[in-house]
Amino acid sequence: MKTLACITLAMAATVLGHAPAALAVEEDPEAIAGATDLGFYAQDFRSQVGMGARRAAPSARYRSSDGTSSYNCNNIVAGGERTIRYPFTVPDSRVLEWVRVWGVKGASTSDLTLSVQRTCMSPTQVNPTTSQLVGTTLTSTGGQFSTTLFAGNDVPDNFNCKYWLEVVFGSNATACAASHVDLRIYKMRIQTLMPDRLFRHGFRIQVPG
Amino acid sequence: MKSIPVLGTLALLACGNLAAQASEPVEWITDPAELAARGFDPDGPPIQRLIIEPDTRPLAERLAERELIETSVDVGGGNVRWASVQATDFMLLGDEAAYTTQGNFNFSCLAGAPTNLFADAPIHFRDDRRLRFFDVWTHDSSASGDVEVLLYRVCQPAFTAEAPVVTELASRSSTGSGGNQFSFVSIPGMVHSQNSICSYWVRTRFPNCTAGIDLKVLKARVVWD
Repeated sequence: MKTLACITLAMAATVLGHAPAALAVEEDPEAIAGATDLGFYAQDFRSQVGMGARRAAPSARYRSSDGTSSYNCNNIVAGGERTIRYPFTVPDSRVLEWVRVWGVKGASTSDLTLSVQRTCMSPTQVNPTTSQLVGTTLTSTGGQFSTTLFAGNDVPDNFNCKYWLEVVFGSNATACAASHVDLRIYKMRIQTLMPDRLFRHGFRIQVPG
Repeated sequence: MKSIPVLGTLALLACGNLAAQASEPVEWITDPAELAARGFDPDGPPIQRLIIEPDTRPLAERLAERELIETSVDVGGGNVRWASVQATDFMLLGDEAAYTTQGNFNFSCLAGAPTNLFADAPIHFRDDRRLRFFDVWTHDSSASGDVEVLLYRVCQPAFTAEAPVVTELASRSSTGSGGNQFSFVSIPGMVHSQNSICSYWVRTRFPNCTAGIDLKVLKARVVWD
């Protein structure tokens, strides 16, 4: 539990006004809509490297050459598919809080559009309904980045729905970058919460198992 | 209030140590040729590697030892203590490279232009578990080369951008040319999964692609406590 202890300590420092702003926002329980007094102990993390991507089409060109298992956009001329996806599952007993993405976005690269999507179908509703839970566009060109998306405390419906992070490397009207090393996805991570629950036999504090 | 920033700094420093923990026996790989042989940028930053002492005991004896500590579990339930990837989870590190799965759980690279000798498959662990064994299934019918399967970890700070730190946790290589094989290696030290800052993947390294389906990776598995 060293990791959790470290993060709790860092969180305490954050509350006291020292750590980066992103940390303060992401881990502040008060930032969770409708939540009160939720401890960080109930948080759980799950991540995957960039090469876990599913390309929307074979024309989404990639190379992974820096050894970190990053997904590097290699559409270095106009044309080609620009969408890749990272499917993920949030257990029914949890709520989806944050999705964080690390990568590199260098000079003269296309905007990077990130979104969390949910597609639902049921035996009676056979038309898939896709909803965007949250989205953002990165326009910076400063190199390494780490950005976060708040998924609205979504309660998953795994029986009928599937979830994924969608990454779009700009428009196919232009190259995504001059070189495959300029626009990369290192990894993505989902942060979920298991709320405390009231059982017939008593109150149970959940600890990630 | 000076102690408050100090506390924060200490906390972030403690948590920001993305290199190996003290209980992990590691060495650095800095030789450009060795980095390139593993699919890394030879001019890029070095990576770490766990130092694994070879266990020369017969496989049957080593497996019997594992049987003693691997009790039955509820498959699919909360007590599962492993994660695995199989052939079709792998992606070659370049989209133009040719490969085949033979319509089955086999993965081989194929000769063509351009080839790519490396393929990655993400693998997920439960958080804060001690990683114990790396199991590998391969097929080697090639007299001229072996296929290697490696386990890697890449870590970055939990909430900020920074250069990734990569550690090679384990590796296994096929031997000879006798066909299907299994082997495993114990992961030394106290290597715990840290999902808030690290991601994990399995890499396959082919010596060449001319061997085609004579060299296959079939499956890899990590077992934890």
